[in-house]
Amino acid sequence: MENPQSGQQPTSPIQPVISGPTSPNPVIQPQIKRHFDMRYLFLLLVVIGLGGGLLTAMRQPVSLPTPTPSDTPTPTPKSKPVVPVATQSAYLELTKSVASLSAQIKNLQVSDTTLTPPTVELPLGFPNE
Amino acid sequence: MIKKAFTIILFLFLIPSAVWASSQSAYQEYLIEFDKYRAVLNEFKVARSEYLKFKTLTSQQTALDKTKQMLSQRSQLLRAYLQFLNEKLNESASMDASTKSLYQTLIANEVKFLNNHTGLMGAIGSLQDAEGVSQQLSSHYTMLQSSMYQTIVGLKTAELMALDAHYYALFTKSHTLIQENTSSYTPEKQSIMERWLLQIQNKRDLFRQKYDEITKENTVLKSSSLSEITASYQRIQKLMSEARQYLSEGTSFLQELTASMQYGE
Repeated sequence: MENPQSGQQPTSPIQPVISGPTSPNPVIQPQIKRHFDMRYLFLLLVVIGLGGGLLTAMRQPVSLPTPTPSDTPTPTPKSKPVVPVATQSAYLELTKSVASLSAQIKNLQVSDTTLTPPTVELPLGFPNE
Repeated sequence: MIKKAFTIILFLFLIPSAVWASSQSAYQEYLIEFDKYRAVLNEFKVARSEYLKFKTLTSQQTALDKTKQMLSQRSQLLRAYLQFLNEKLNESASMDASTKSLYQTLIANEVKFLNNHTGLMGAIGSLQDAEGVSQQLSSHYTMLQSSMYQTIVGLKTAELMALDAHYYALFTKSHTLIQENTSSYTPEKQSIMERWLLQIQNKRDLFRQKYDEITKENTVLKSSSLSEITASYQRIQKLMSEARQYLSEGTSFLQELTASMQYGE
């Protein structure tokens, strides 16, 4: 005899379909935004500034190397052959005359202020009486 | 004998300084007269304004006295200036005798006019008389200015022409020297020097063009208008400056040519 009071549930023929483990409802957690801390930037800038200043102060003045005279002499331009006329008195006189003419032209004052005529007052400015 | 020779040498040394001194002393004299004129002119202006303001007999008399002084000094200043120009003409080595004589006649005529003008001042008895005498100079003033400017232009163009003659002589000399020594130069060098000579000649042609323009403009100096005379004189000064520039450039070319003439290639 079956004891209905046994507390055992009769096994129902229809078994629930167990469809795997049910996924739990997603819990929306508040995202933590990572803000860039501006203090770091400030600190970085200060460090760069101090470092730059320090480097500049520490830099030694660049001393230019003292030029040493080279042993090789500067090549002189190849001298051109001089024609016989260059030693003639006519040529020498000509060069002197050209130099003298050049000086005379330079000294010529076309607008000589000392020669400017005087300006005088002409009308006396008395009324006709 | 030695004493005589010493005197001659001393005399010869003194000649150039005496020539220099004549125009210089004339210029100094002119400057002194100018200073006097400025002083007298100021006194005249003060006396005139006082007379025009108060119209008293005393102020009239003062004005008359100062006017006479001013007129006399004005004439003296102009004569001193003409004397200075005359000395400049005397000293000019570049101007030929006939041209010099022409300008000196022009100056002598102006001095004669001024002497007559000064002579009239003794007869001035009133301000009206003074006006009349002053008017005589006013009506002649354009001609006087024209003579002055013509003389200045004459002096300066003579200097330019003397330089031009020197320039042309040196150009010809260079040309002759090159031609006489053709064998010393390579054909390339010869052709270069020929080209340079042509450029030197061109500079002279440009100078002559400017000189012709100056001569043409010089006729405007005989104009009847004072403003035209002044404007024409300014144009002439510009032309003379350009002419001088051509000579200067040409001489610079001549210097290059003569330096290059030493070498065969």
